[in-house]
Amino acid sequence: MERRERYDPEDIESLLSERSFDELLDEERDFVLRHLSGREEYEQMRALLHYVRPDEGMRAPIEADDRVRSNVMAVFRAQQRPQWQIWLNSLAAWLKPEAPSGFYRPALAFGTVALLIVAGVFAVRQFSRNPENATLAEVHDVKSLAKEESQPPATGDTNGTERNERAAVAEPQAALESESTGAVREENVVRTDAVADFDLDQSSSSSSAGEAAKLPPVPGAPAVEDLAAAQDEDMVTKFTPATTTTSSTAAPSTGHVVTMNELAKNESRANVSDVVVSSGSKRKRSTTKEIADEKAGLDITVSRSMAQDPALLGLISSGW
Amino acid sequence: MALFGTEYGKLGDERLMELVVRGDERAFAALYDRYHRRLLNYFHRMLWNDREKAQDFLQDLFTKLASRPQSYDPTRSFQTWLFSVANNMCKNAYRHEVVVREAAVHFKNGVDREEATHGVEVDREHFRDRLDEELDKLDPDHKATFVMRFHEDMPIKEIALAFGCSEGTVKSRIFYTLKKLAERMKEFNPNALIPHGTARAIRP
Repeated sequence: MERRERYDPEDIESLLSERSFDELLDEERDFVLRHLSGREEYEQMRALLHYVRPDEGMRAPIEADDRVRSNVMAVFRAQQRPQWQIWLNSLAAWLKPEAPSGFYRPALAFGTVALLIVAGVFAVRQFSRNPENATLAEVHDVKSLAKEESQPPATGDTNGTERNERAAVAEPQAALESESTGAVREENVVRTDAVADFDLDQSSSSSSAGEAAKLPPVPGAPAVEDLAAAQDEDMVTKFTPATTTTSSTAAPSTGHVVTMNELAKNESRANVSDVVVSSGSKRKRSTTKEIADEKAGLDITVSRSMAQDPALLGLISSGW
Repeated sequence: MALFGTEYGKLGDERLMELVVRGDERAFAALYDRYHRRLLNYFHRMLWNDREKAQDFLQDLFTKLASRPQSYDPTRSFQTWLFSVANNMCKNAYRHEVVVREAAVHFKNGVDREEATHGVEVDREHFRDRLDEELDKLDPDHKATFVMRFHEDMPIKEIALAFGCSEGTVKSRIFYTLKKLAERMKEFNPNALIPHGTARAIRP
């Protein structure tokens, strides 16, 4: 029967550490001799092993320099630093390089950005000057003016035309002034509507229509000159009742002249319907634009240019 | 639990590494203070007693630890893991410099052997030099095993974990390293080195 081995070859280390060759048991000696040549080799190994360990104790351990510790701790701190700080540090290093030759990078980058901005502005300006875009803008203006002209014109009666124009000029200004006090204005309009059907003289003096109704009707022709001379809206408003009275009795023409009553009725209806009011406000605003254009010397409508023609005005005056 | 002052010194390696992963600078400093001397001497042994190189390797090792503390496997012993990293670094160093070192060792070996044969008594300093020379001639794994076992006094089990091999392999390496060294250092009289009856217990 084969004898079972109690030791492994690597266990010789423990035997070397604990016992000399003479101190080994027979079993242990047999085991050692199966792996080593004999006593001499065993003793040499044992001496070496025993000499190595005390030798290590005698060796003074070397110490690391302090710079190693500081370097390692600096690395650890840098690793734990928030990333945005690293990013800012790199940005600062990029913007302020130590070597002067390193400035070419930020300079090149900023120059490129500036060039792109200039090119972008130039491109936008060129695009805005495109003839197609300009045409579109003009067409839009013309359409709005055409809408204005499509409103009830005053073609039959020149005086009426003039008066309507003046009234139209005055109306938006008054409307703009009274927009902030719209509620008050609507109240006045209702009152005007009520009074204008019966007695214009008894209408309220607080409203513009009421003030106009207070004035006595002006007989005769000088309405046009007076209207032309009237520069402010108060004057225009004063003459409005007279013109409406006259216009209401005048012969019918191809156009339609809005009388004071109609105006008052329309406004009173406008109070009932929001739609009318909104359209009226649109008209007032666009008329304001007309005023601005007129002040700028733009001849945008035919009727206005006729009204400004002195010869035509003289002819109309003589007719009166 | 609040951590103040000396409490870091009482914490285990693995607990300190958990804190290091969270960015605790004092835990990292505690680990450095705990292991830097052993690792420096290990590198010194492994890297041909080159002190500057040993310090560079020590710094590199802790720099790696600071940069990637997540690379540590918490299931392993920190000491084992640390020495396995150190051993791999030494292996890489051997691959680069073994040719140059071999030439230098051969030259020095001839001179020393001649001096040893002429010497009547063996002193310990001479023995240390000879031992270092013979260790440098060994395979890096055998040398590292020998250094860990007899210089760092590491248990067989931890050496096996550091190398990723069995305990039997470690014991076998130690046995054959001792046998080879004893054969190469025959000129030293064992009786002069060790007094009889001074057996010393070793860690399993």
